[in-house]
Formats: sequence, C-alpha cells, structure tokens
Amino acid sequence: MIPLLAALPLSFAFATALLLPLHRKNLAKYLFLTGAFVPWGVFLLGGEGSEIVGGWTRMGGIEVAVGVYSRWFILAELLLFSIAALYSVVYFRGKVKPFVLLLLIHTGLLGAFISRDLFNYYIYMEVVSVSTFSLVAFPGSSEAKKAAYKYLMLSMISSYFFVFAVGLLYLKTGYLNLYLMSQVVTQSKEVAAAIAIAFTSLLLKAGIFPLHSWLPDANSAAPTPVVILSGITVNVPLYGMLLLSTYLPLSVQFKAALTSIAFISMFAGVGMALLQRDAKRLLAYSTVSQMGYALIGIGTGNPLGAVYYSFAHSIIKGGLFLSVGSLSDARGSRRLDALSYRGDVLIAVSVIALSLAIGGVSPFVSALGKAEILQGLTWGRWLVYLAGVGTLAAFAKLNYWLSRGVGVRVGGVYRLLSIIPTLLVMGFGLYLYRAFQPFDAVTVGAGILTFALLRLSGLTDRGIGFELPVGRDVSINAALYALFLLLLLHVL
Amino acid sequence: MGMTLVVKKTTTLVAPFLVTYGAYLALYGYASPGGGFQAGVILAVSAILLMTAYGPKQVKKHFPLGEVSLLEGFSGLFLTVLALAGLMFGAFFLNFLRPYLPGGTVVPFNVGVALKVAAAFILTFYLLSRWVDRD
Amino acid sequence: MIDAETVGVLIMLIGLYGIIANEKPIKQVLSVNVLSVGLVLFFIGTGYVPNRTFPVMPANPVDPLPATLMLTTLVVDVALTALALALITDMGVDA
Repeated sequence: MIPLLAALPLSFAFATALLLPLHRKNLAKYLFLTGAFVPWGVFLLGGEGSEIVGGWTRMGGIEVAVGVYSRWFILAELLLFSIAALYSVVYFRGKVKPFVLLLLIHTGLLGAFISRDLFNYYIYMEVVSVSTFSLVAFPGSSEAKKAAYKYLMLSMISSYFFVFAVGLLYLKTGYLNLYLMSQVVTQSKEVAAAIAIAFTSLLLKAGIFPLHSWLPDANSAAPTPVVILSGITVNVPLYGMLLLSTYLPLSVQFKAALTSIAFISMFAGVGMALLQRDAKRLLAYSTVSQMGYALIGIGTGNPLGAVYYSFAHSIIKGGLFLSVGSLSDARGSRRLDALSYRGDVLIAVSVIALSLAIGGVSPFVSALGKAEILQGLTWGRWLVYLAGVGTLAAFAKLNYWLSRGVGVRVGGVYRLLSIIPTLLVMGFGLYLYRAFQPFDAVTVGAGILTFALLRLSGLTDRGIGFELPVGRDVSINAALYALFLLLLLHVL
Repeated sequence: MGMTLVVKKTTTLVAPFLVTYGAYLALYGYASPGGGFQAGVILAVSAILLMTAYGPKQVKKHFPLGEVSLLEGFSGLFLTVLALAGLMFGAFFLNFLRPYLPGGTVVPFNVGVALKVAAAFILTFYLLSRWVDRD
Repeated sequence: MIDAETVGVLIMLIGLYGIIANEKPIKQVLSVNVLSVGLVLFFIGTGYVPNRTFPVMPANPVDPLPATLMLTTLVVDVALTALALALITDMGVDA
C-alpha cells in the first residue's frame, strides 16, 4: 500500500498528459485534483511500517517505509500540496502542461519521503528537481529563464556528486539499502569522505548559506503555486540528511562543523533579508535562515527537533508565499513599497499571524519546533534567541511596508486559501504544544525595536544592486561548491 | 534543408532495420544486454536519422506531433497500470506474469519503456528543431 | 595499472573545472556532460572483478547493479541536457 503514495499521482499525471493530444483540455483540472487528493486516502488508511516493493526480500528489493519521522514530512507535503493544487486550478486556468508537471512534483516529493534506499531517494529528488526547473521557467520572462538555468546547473552538479557519494558507499559496504548498510558500515576514511560529499550536495539543495544563491532567484521568478511548494522542496534534502545521519556514523568534528554552518546560515539569511527591497526575495532569504535552524537539529543529533521545525516552517513559508505572491501578482510588481494588504482583512491577518509564527511565538506550532531544537543544544542557546530576534525584525520590515500604501483587490479564492495555513499552524500548535509563554512578547518587542533602529539609521533602505550575467554567476557558484567541498573534506 | 540524394536513399534503406534492432533489444532485453531504455534510444534514432537527412518539416508530416504525444502518454499510462495490476495478485509491482512468460512482467515493461523513451526523444528533437527552422 | 575508478574521478574533476572556468552557458552544459560521463565510468569501475564475464544471466558475472543504476542516471542526464539546451536557445542573446 505504501508505494501507492507515489504511484497514483504518477498515473494521474500520465492520464492528464494524454488529454492534450486527445483534445479534451477541459477535463484536465478534474484529473489534476483527483491526482492531488488521492494520496490522502492512502496515507490515512495505510499505517506505519515498511514494505519491500514487489514482495522481494530486503537484500534484493527496494524498501519503502512510513516511519515515525517521515510521517510528519508526508503530512506537511500533503497539506501544502492540497493548498497549492487549489491555488493552481485557478492560476493555471486553461492550460494542461503545468498540471502534469505539478503532479510529477507531487509524485517525486511523496516518493522521496517514503524511500529508505539511497538510490531510490536520489531518483525521486531528481523527479522533483526536473519538474521544478520547467515550472520555474514557465512565466517566460528573461528573469525566469535565467533563474531556471542557474538552478538547473547548480542542482545538476550537486546531484552528480551525490550519486558519486552513493557509489563510494556502495563500494565500501556493498548495499544501497540504508538498514543493511548500517549493519555493515565501519568508520573509515572513504566512508567519511562519502558522507562529506553527500552532505555538501544536500546542503546546496537545501539552500544553506554559502551555497544558497539559486534560492532567491528561483523563488522570486517562479509562478506562485510553485513557490508555495518551495517550502517543501527544500525539505527533501533535509530528509536525506536525516536519513544519512541516523543510519551512518558521523564523526564528532563533522557534527560540530554542521552546527557551526547552521549558525552562520541563520545569521547570514536574516542579515540579507533585512537588506532586501523585493518582497519575495525577503521571504527567500528567510528560508535560508530557517533551514539553518533545522540543520542544528541534525548537527546535534536531535532528529525530532529537525522534523518538528521543518514541519512548522514548510506550512508557514507556504502560507507567506501564498499571501505575498497573490498580492504581487495582483499588483504586477514585487517591490515592497508597491505592495500593500490594506483593506484586505484575510490577507493582513494571515501575514501578521504567520510572521509571528515564523519567529517562534508560542501558541503556534513553530514554538514546539524551537523548543525541541533548543533541548538538544548544549552551547549557544542565546544565539538561537538572537537569530529569532533578527527574524522578527525582518518580518517587522515586511509588515511595515505591507501595511502602508494603497491596497489592491486579490481574487476571492486566493484570499480564502491564504487563511488556511494560518489556521493549520494555530491548530497544530494548540494540539501538540499547548503552552503559552509570555517571554515571547519580549522577543517580538525586541524584533520590532531592532527594525525601528535599523530603519532610523537608514541601513535597511539600501538595496543590493548588482546582477551578474548568468554564465559567470554559475561559474562563481560552482567554484564556491568546490571550495566548500574541500572544506568539508578537510574537517573529517 | 536536407542532404544529397545518396544520403536520403541510404537512410531510407537503413531506418527500418534500426526499428527491427530496437524491437529485438526491447523484447529480448531480460536475458541479454539491452532493455527498455537502450531500445527506446535506437527506435528514436531511426526517426532522428530521417530528420537529419530529409529535414524536420517532412518528417513531421509523416509522424505528426499529436500522434507521438499520444504514444508517449499511452505507454506511460500502460507502465503504471502494469505496476498497479500487481496489486491484485499480492504486492505492488509483483511479477505476476512469471508462470506464463519467461521473464514475466519484465517483457511488457521493457516494451512500454522503449515506446515511451522513443516518443520522448522524438518529441524533444521536434521541439529543438524549431530553432533550426528559423535559420 | 590505472583502474577505472581513479580515471572516473579524474574526469569528474575535469568536468567540474570546466564549469568553473567557462562562462558561456553552452560550454558549461558540455562540461556537465563530461562530469556525468566520469561518474558513469566510476560506477562501472566499482563493479569490476577481474576474470569474470559480462553482467547477464550466466553463472559468473561482474556485478550488474552499477550498470543498471547508471542507466537511470544517463536517462536523467539526457533529460536535463535537453532542458538546459532548450533554456539556452530560448535565452538567446541575453546569456
């Protein structure tokens, strides 16, 4: 039953692609919605457990499993994709190909989260990536094509090095299945090198600091339903890192290096978010910062913290991109001083609530994530609080600019959909965490104060104003990838 | 665009044999080197060879874009239905034809993969040849 | 003798150097293809055991799993190259 999670959306994707040559384009959205919602049935009826595809044994087959941790990733993916599916039925009205690509992204995401076999995980990650490249280039503007090309090149390099690392592990242990690999692996130099290469590739795909520069371009140029899914697409490499750190031995200095990179990424993301003048790029840099939080969970050996934090972050970021994206589509521009949610109560409430949620304020589920992450940290807890203040300052900037100016009417369906992530985040928070900490008011106040100080000093109004030709951009980032790879290989 | 008469006649003679070779690789791929993807590439090469010899416009008249898309969609759907049909006999993707055919489900799966890959490659070359026509 | 895995790693590094050193997008796509060919060679080299025959049915095969995995990787490589080339020709003179 578990492989059906990935197989049913795939068959609906092929069926939807058939509609184009058969000249029945009006049935496309019904097939698309069926394909998007059918995995809910499989997920709720099937239980936990693991299964080998085809009825073979574990040594000769591909294992898929819904475990204690992957359950949260699959739930976040199903919730976020349902919202994105309803959004895209209105957004891509009359076209068929985006529906096919979105169903392929659904297949890939679900397949990646259920896989327990390294090569299977790589294949589904590639399915997600290739479909996302095509959808990022969909708007047809020159900026979208350049963003898609840059994302494609960097993701391809990191994918090939990930397969190289899988090959090294296969050479050393003789298995691709993670459970069997964990039984026979020994701590040797080649295994440590393979883990370092695999982690570098996954760090690039997750958008952690030095290797993040494809993320703002792709997230600001892509059409809004794809950007809503970007909250989950960065979770796939995080799940990969979780699998590697649970089943393979990581040395102590490697984990310390991961934690340091995570802290640097948190502060760099927040710093760059404070300097932005473009609303969607601000949200994209905040993703860079939040992925640092989740990486701390992996670096300190606390998988539950990473799982809860990324669950919260994906729904919050999806909701924020939905609201800000629909505002910018209605206005036609992404600049902060041109957008406003004045006069539109639903979007205003959802943006304010989700901004508080992303800072880790208590009745929302992100407070549970933050508490779990803090539980695993033995040093540097004040750094996490400081980064939280920085995040709240960046979102104070977003809300400050969005609350002034002239509002524009957004379509009815979009407004109704924008309140759903807020309700989900509140609902999960009350169900799972159920504690209210008044200390969070101090953090919120400090964030607003920081933003007020920065604005008075004029630091936040200077944008970053250079743009490279895309070939040189890719070369510089490939060089950064190579240097970072050498650095991580040196650490072990 | 197009090439000289010698090239055109030679490719017209050779292309059907490529299709035969591709069919052999697809059907016998479970027991000898070969298999779905390789067969699909050879099948596509037969059409692409004709495209380089005669020019894309003439080949598009004989193999219209709509029919190639239809082939691609149907073979993709056939593959997933074959995998889901294993559910009725036990597990997902179970090899339920093993008592009847040597190799079992692998043979129809290889044929499906070959057709899908061939259709996808031909479509890719049709789309990339749009820029060729512009020159 | 030099074995296939070492040569595979060297070709991968040459491909990575090619992406860093070239600024034109079409040359970068060609370098990525060199990278993928190096990867395939490395994988095939991991399965090689001396004095064994080809990886199909008879009793004494070389490890067949890397060859199968590399088929899938080649498919991904072809699809991505096609997409990258379509994007480059569409970007036209801006790149």
